[in-house]
Amino acid sequence: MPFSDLWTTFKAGYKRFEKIMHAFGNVVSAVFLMIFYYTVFALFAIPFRLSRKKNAIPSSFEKPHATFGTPEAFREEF
Amino acid sequence: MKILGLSFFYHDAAACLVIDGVPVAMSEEERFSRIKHDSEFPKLAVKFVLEQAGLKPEDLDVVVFYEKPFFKLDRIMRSALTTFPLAPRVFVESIKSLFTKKIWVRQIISEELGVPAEKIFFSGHHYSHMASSFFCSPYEKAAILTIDGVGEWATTSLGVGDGTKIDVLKEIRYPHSLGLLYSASTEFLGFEVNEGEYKVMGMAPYGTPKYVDRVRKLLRVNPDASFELNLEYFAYHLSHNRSCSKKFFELFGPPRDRASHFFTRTSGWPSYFGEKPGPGEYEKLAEQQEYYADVAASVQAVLEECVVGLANQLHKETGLTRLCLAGGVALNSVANWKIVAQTPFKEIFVQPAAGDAGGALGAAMALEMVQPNAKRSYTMMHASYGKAFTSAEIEETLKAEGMAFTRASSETDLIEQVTTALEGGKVIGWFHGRFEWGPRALGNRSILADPRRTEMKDIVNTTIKFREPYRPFAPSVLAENAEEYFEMPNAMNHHPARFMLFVAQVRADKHSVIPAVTHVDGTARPQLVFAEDTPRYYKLIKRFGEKTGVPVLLDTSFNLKGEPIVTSPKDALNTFMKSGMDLLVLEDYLVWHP
Repeated sequence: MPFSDLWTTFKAGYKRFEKIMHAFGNVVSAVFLMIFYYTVFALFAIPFRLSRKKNAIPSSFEKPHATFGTPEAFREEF
Repeated sequence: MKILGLSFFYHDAAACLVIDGVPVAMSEEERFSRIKHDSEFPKLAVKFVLEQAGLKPEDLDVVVFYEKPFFKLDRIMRSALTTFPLAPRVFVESIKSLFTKKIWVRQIISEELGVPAEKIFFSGHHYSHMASSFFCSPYEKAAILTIDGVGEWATTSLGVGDGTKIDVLKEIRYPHSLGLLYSASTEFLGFEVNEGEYKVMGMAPYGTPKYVDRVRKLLRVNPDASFELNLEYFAYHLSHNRSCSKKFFELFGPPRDRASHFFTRTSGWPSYFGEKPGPGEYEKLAEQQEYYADVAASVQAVLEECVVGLANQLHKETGLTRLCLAGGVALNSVANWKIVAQTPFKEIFVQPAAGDAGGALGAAMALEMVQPNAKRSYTMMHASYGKAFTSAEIEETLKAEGMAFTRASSETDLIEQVTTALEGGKVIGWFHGRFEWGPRALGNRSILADPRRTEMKDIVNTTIKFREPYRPFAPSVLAENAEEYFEMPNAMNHHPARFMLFVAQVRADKHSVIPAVTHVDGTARPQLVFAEDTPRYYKLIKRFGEKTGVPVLLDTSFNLKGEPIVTSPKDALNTFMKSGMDLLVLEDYLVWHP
């Protein structure tokens, strides 16, 4: 098959995929993320849960996460 | 320095322009988009604040967002790890919304405004709240307490403000949150979360706090006033649309039906509910609703205990007697007054947009104050920071809508006509000057009525605003007369009372004088009106007082149930035509209901 035909086939396929994503994007991404949650994410979550008996978040006063004494402290998103 | 503060993507999106340490214009997006609690990028609010100052986006020195998106991502991911495998839907929804837009804040702001990415900065959620209060307060040094649902991680923060510096001392983190406790109760009581919290506050006085012990099971309060929620009773960490767990319902019973009529034997069955049920059915329904009122009262009582406890702890640690409050819980005006009444803090400050919208103001002020040689030169004395409309714009609108109108010959003439109408029992839509910053109408976009008439509460609730009949109305009172009507010693020194952020007792001998603004428990949420801040509104109340002997007006926000407060003359006209108001006053123009 010449390259130009391959490209046309790929483009047509991509257009179809785009249409499906447009119509069912939410469902497709939700299914993908659900599978991700119970597989890849689980690889991190299970050891995390096992390493902490109850609640991972402290329940009394904590020191603040960040300080804002200079303009530099405002520079980043984290 | 020209700083644009922004808050968006969670609750109320807002924009605030601060020039050389002074806010010059600010607004929630909902005022322009007409979508209640609009949380999308505040395009229209930004357009307004820039136009107000005659600036273009490229004139801005800095744009600052009110929180750190990656800190929030951290909380959401850790929370997902902690709750695995119980919350797959929360994971899916959060990841979708975060990765498709909420973490790309820098890119979104840069694209929307056309400003370079390096001009975009990020404050902390609770730091923005703290800054919005302290840097707008008249205090050189004060303790600061922020309580809300959740920011990035913090749900409660304690700090100290001194000059241009804020020192955050400590914080309590998600999922332990007084704001989320109150929201779960809001859901149980049949109201929408993030919208109906103030309805719970209005419902509480109809009940007695009989179930405080049950509410206390929901949380453990430590001797240092820190607290821990018992998460077995909650579902907000496991679900996007449920706050209460099965165990919560086992403890409190089934939730209140959203469609049910709320009444008690004290309030009686109002005629506008329709035909009164037979005696047996009436008793049964009243008993059901009274139970929910008792739960509301109990939740409110426990919230107040916690807030007062935190304030006492903060005083113990800092020794300060002035307090700046911020966060959504600081809109709980009943709890605010309890702090003054029950703690050593005798002066407190709350700015009117204490919730997330106020983060835009706080972020801008916070960044201004860390600049070299920063100085504080501003105190928020009023809330008039929105858009004003000219006579020409108003006249054009009236003509375009084909409305019959008259124009007052002078301000005195206008006030004379309006007070005569109020005295005669008319309900008036009052539109004057720049609209208010925050959720309260403070005499710029207000519905006004005579507070001496008992029936006014029902008339305004049911034929003007179409809202729940039990909800109270606030009085606007001349500042110098406040102590005559309310048990509020040194009333003029209480800043939050300028913004209706205190609930105080109406003096016993005044209950019958201003019945339409006296709530069922004898309290009211007064706004103190000062001549120097809102001169026309002050003159109106003063003249009404001269005519009637009562320098007080019933004031409620100029909107219909579920709609944002009106912004433009056209919004005001639409609301006026859809409601049963008698007279619309658009600056100097008067329109009588056809």
